[in-house]
Amino acid sequence: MMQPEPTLIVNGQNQPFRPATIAELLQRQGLDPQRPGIAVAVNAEVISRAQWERHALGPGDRVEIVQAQAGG
Amino acid sequence: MYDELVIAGQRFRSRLLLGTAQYPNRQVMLAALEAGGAELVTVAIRRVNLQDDSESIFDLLRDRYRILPNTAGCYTARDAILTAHLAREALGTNWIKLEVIGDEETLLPDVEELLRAAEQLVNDGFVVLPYTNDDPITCRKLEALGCAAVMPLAAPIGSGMGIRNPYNLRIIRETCSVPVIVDAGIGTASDAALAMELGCDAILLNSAVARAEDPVRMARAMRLAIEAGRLSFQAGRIPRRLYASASSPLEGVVTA
Repeated sequence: MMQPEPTLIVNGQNQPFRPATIAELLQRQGLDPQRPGIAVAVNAEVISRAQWERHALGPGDRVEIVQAQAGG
Repeated sequence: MYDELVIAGQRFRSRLLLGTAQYPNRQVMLAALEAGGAELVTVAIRRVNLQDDSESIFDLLRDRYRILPNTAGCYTARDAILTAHLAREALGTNWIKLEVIGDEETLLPDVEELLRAAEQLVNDGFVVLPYTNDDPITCRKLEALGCAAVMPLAAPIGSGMGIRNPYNLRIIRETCSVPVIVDAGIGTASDAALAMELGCDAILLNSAVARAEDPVRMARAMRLAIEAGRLSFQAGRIPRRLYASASSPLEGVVTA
């Protein structure tokens, strides 16, 4: 039987898993990791900016990339 | 001495906290924040929209205001706690407007989840400003947990219904020693003035200004109403009485 393709879930969207650090993922998504005002959580745990170059993502990881938006 | 609002040791001249959502456009939002004289402004934390490359609201506001992120949209303590941690990392502030709601029709707080989240976030080193029901007991518990203020609602979020229970707000003001910030339900300037006359320390609002026909003018109206209400509270109003009490002297009235 075929194994299902490993995926990464980024902001609720499935995408094929490719090995990457958080910084690399952000670049792949078109986001500059140096840009202020963004935060990342992997599997419901915040990963600090200082770890983005080092933190390797694994298959099945749920990644949330957030920023401030207008709010009340 | 200026009559300052002090939250967690930080001093503010303005007693109006403004939201940043629902304005016709960003220019009007910036003009309204300015007209309202706000120093603290709220933002939400949301997933990055990769299609939207306009300037981030953080970049727009960070040099001019102290930014207060919220946990709007969270229904559980768990989600609110994660959102607060994301906000701290993204915006570099440990201040959080804690919102944990119970259902989407009323947007009323879920007290059980709210208390749980507040306790955890205080332990995690946050300055927690909880949006809460106008319930003196819940407010007392939130203060006991270490919240830096309590933010009882006047009426449901966005309802514009004004102060539904002035007596509860008075009891909250009398029983809590942290600042009491009325958050949600304000519809117009007189509502804000009334809340301040009851002794509340500040007002947090968004819809009443952002959705007014002229948001900039309404922001100014709110600022003036809050200042007037505050002065009126400090000045001490006269007691109410059923019958008249003449203000002109009764002696020396001319007779024809």
